[in-house]
Amino acid sequence: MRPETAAELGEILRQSGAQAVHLEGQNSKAHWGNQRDGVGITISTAALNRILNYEVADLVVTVEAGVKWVDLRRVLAAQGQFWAVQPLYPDQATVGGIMATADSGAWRQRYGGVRDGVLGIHWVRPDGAETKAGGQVVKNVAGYDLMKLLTGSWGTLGCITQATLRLYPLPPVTRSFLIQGEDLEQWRQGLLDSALQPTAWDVLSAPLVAQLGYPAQMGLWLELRGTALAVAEQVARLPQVLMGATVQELDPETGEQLTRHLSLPGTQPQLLLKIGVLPTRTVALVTYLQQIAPHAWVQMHSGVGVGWFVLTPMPADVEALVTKIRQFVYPEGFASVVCGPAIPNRWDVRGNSLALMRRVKDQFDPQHRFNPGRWLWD
Amino acid sequence: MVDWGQVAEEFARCLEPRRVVRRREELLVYECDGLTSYRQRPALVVLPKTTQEVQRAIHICRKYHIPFVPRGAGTGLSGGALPEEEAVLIVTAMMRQILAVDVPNRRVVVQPGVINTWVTQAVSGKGFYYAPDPSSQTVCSVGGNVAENSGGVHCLKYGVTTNHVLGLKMVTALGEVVELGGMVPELPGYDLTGVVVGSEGTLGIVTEVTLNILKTPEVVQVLCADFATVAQAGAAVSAIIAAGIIPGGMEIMDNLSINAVENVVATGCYPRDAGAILLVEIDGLPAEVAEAMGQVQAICKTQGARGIQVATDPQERYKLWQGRKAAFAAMGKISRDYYVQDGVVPRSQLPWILQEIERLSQASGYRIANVFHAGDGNLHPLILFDESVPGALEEVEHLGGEILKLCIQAGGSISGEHGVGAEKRCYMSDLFSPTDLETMQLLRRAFDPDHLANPSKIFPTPRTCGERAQVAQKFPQLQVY
Repeated sequence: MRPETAAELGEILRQSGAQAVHLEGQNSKAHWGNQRDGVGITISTAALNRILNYEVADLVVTVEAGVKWVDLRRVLAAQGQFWAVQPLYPDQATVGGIMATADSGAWRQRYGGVRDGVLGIHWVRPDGAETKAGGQVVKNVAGYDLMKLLTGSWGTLGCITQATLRLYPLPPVTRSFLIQGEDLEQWRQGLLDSALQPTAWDVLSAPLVAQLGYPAQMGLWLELRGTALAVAEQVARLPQVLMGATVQELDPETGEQLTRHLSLPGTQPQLLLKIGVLPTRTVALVTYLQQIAPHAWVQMHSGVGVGWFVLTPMPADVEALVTKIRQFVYPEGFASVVCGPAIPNRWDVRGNSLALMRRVKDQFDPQHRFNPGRWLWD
Repeated sequence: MVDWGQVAEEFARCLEPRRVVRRREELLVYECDGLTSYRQRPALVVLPKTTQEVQRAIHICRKYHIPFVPRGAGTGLSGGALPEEEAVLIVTAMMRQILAVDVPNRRVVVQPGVINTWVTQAVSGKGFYYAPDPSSQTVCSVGGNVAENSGGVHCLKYGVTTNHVLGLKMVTALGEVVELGGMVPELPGYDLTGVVVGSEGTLGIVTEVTLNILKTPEVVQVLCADFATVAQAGAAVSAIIAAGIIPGGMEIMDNLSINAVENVVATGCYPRDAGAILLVEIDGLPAEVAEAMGQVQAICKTQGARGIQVATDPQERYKLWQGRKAAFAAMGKISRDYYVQDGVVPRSQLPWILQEIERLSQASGYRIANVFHAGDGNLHPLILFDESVPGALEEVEHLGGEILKLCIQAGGSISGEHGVGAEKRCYMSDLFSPTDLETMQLLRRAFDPDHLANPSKIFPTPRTCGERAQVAQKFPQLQVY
């Protein structure tokens, strides 16, 4: 079902009693999470695809959840602005899907994650009631910050219908570089400790570097954005920070090329992990991953310690592989099986807050109607 | 009826007796927070030092079914730490340890009683700082910042508290110790860190906070432009944002504030005859800052700036900021009392709302000074009054409420950084529908099903908000703007 308004969506929920509800946008991530059992109804936000209010002077846009990232980007770029997320499936991904999976991408270290850019949210509850939190201004502390609760909740608390997003001025110049050589960790930390302000600073595994058309050797991808003068000033300082490195300039679109490489079609068997590790261990992690999974494409955002691991075809013993990775990234990190077999503890919730999360779920969706089985809950 | 003697004895057994405050005269200092016009003596005050002690304190509250009100340094401006008559005040001010500093990973772990500026002091030698900087940063605590999701003058570019908190340890109102988030962002599961920040102590008590620190910029410059009118300064702000420049901070002070500050702090750098001054701070690499500063200067001139000063060295910068940071205190010197509001409007609506505030000021006869985070559209109108005049407080509260309603009308919010607290909960219904408020209660029930944590804050209740409506009716002259 493809409701065209939040009211229609609410009506569908009220009319469908206690039936299970599977939520989707453009379905680009249908292969993510545990696979549905077919029971219940499917609601798509694809027809909720209007840009409702674009306050250019305020750098704020309010959009419906089904608006595609590419379409939004086009509209914003025409005004010299952008939403600072770089999601997987850039051609299909919708605002609602990006929010539900908190798919922030490489710009996180500079602009914050999806969570940091959502100023307001509207959603429909399992009982069909329309509700909201936050607002349309960049600074607002009135009421609970339920934008953050819904962001990354995998559609298990409510169906997001619209969001107000914080935007940034589109920098006129982008330059991208590949850094290779022996001292990756030293360069990684050196650049972060310098006065440079990279928008992306990611560790890439050798097979992913090869996808970009460069020698299959682990490397660092650096992106600098700003005015021509500001970028040139940073580039001039690179030799100081990257002493002894092989530096090659890449296509300015490298960031998006990387997300496209990692966005394998759902029909292709693949293991997709979201991994977190202390930033100081990102180079060591990718080095280790190259030993235990030599063909994996890995992109770790080294300023924050979060990234993607993609392996195709599906390895024989996923559980053993994931266990090894977790042993490496613990105690601070995590490794979630976003796409792959339903191994025990696939999501890897850390700490002791699962019981509290369950109480939140039980309050927001007492009948567990939304996306049952897909994520953490039955 | 609660047997407070027995309850106090039980607290004294789990904390040192001297950290259980019962004597009337000692309770006095806890009667209010930074919103001094609201006062209530608490039944009992306890000062735990560890997570375990906070947990024990909450267990005792649960045992006797006594509500508790968390309090940090007590500098909040919305009455979030206002005690209740039949409640325990749990004060985190003695939880003052910096537990871990990990500069390579840019993390600092602190107890909630640690003062905001101590975080920067702990890492500044290594070239880092903690970004959120409320004006009270030398006295306010991180726990309070987390509760209120505090902002500051440098939030425009780097964000508010929530954007810098990676993880929390807390004791929920059910008495369980939970670890939320951690050293790495985007940990699997719900982002409960994100909802606890800004929850104003209504979900439990935070006992450890993992903060993100930032690299100190190489170059920082502050520009101070003076304008004949506040509207011109506001237009300059819009033009700077529209030019694609994101300054570290962008602040406006109006004529009344300028003169108050010049009287008290005597910086000698704000022209007394200016309608408004605009402070713009730009940070980054040298050429980048020079380029942006050049553009900002040009914009200010185009918008009619009469004079422009640019401070490049730390002392000059400090001097320019000093007046802004002292603005609230200075107001206390020119008026017996002042009432500060904290509304937000879309940045483009600043000129409109300032005109409306001026109109309200003239209609009511109360002087209103405006000091605000212009880049964020976050207003801090200060209404000057004399609390000893009977009825004056009610009138200025009503006037503050009218300003908030205008903010809502402009598409804004009733609080940008001070929180809703005890003060503004009756305006929540103007911003949110009954369904929205009911949805927020779903979250609360998951943390605090028995409604013991700071129970009378944030959300409107028919009783109190009904009373306020009656107060307003007593002053019908205020309805005729």
